[in-house]
Amino acid sequence: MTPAWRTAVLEGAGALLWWDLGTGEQGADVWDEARAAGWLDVAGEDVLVPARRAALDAWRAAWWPASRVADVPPLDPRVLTARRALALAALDGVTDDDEAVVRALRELAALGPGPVGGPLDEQVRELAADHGVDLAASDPLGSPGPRPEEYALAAGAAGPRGAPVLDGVDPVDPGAVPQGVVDPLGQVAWRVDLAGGADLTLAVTVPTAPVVGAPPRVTLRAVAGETVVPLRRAGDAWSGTVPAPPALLAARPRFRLEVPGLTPVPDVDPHRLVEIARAVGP
Amino acid sequence: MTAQTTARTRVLAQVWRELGDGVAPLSNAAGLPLARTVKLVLDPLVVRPAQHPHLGRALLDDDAARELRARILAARDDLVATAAWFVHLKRERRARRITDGHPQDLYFQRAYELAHRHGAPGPDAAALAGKEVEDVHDAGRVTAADLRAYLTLPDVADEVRRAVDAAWTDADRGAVAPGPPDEEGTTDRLTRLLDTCATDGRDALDHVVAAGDGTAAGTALRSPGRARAAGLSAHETVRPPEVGTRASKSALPPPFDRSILERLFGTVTALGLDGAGALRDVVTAEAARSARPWQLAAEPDRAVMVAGAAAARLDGTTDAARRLAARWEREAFVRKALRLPDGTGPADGVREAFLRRLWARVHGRELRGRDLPAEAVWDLLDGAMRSVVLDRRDQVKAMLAQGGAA
Repeated sequence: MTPAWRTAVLEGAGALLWWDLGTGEQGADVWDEARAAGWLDVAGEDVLVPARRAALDAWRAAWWPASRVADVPPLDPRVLTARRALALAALDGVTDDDEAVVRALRELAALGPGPVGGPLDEQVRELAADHGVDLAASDPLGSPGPRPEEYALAAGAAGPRGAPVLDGVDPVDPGAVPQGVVDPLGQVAWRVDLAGGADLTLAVTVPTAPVVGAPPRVTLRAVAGETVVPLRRAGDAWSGTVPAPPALLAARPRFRLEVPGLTPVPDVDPHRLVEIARAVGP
Repeated sequence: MTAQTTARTRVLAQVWRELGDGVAPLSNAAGLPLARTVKLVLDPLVVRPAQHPHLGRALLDDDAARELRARILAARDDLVATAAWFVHLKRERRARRITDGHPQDLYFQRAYELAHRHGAPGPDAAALAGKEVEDVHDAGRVTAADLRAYLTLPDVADEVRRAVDAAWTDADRGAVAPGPPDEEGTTDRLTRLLDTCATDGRDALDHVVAAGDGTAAGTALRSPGRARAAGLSAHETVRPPEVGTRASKSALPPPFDRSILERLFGTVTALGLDGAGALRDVVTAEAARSARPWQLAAEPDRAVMVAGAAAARLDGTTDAARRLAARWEREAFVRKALRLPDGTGPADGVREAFLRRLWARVHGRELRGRDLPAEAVWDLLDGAMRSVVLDRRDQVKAMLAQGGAA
């Protein structure tokens, strides 16, 4: 199978369609021939065009490398979801999940009310009416707006000044975090300072991913061996400070990011992500 | 001699595209039938596999394929008129600012009935369609709120409680000690059903039904601890259901612990019941059903449950079990591609979640009065597993949104 992080997928009835955005290869993994026979070879481009469109918008929602470092502007999740809902409607009867359109419309509703923009608005309103979905109904599980206290903290988040005892930067692994959490081209910057008397502190900062709308609320921490630094989102950066364990100074630590419960997607290449994003477009 | 076969879905898709623009309102942008067009119109009203089982199989021989084509082409006028009526019904819905329910679910069958009665829509189409829409959304139809109001009337609640108790007492009294278990026979019959149901399980289902394997397994669930182990109850000993005063879709207990209200409220609106008499009948039937093996009334439905319990072991011993397990293998890749937390190991509670989903689907069919033809068995099993996969995907998304992964 192709590397998951650069593969756009469409779950069809009886077959998984995939596009490797790194190589341009595409294919269909047929798992139930009797079902896939109803659409895979019957309708050709009429099915493949909306299928690719839906798959690409799902990929953008998951992997679009919004980045201040690489100057990749973030995409609006509401636009992506609206476009995906419309593409899935063209695939009604073709998707594995008969409720795929309704599901996408509910996701859109959960992202909060407001216009999506342009002709999409009218199309989506029409689609929702045709599926009996109330776009104004908000899902309590959806991510709420940013909490004001997080932004208030930003003012006081200035780190220590002066020469550090030890510092370094490690690359971000986008495969280790969900979408919208950290800048995939950013770096995990850490420094050890002498705070006041003889106490050493360890401070870690990572640039956030630029997002449209509310950022996802996840538990994020930087980890190097036994050392764990919980991070908080404030303004444009995640940061955290802990007393530096003496062992940290023995060898140059390598920090990586961790979200509890999330198994990293292996071998994600952030530079390749940016290239693919520029080729695929917003 | 092996006959040449064609996938049924391919025959449907090809002949559907031949019907032309007249059926566009029932088609997707690629000119293929919508999922609900097949489920609510083509299958139950035009092809009717219950009466013509040879047209319901996943793979059709040449004769059956020709017959299926001919049936659908013969129904062209009906289908074109159905499509036109559906457009009228949606227009009248909009004119009345009705937003409840999925228009396809609510109007497809009505559109077909209008087409049958009146042919293509004529000058009086708006009035007829308007009347039909008002009938669907008639304030007199029983809703979930009506059901709740009814069940919370003290006299009714008492009566329903007595009916439940009587049914359970009868079941206890009637429960004969099971004869010598025919485990080998059961295993053979279930294996055959699960090996063939994805392609053609007709005879195999008949054998399981005739042997009463579903009833035997369902009766065994009454032994202490068994229903809990299967994920169908939270209790060591299954108790008769309460009548119930409240119900919430997001907080349903396991199937056997659901109150009468919880068993009915999700479906009652869709039943289109007219008045208190019809509601009373549904409630009384549910009280009786709750005391039956698997808490289901029909033997084929119990057969599906016992088959599902075997398939959900995902142990690779049958075709169905392998297919269900393959869903989880695909899901592991899709989760990564969608950058969602993993946790797709099918070990934890999947079998129990699957049986709960399967029960709800089978029970819903019973409420709608639908019998269970053999060709529906695999769709039920696969659909229940797909629901479990998607439920879990929603759960990890929600967990991410709430500040942590799995």
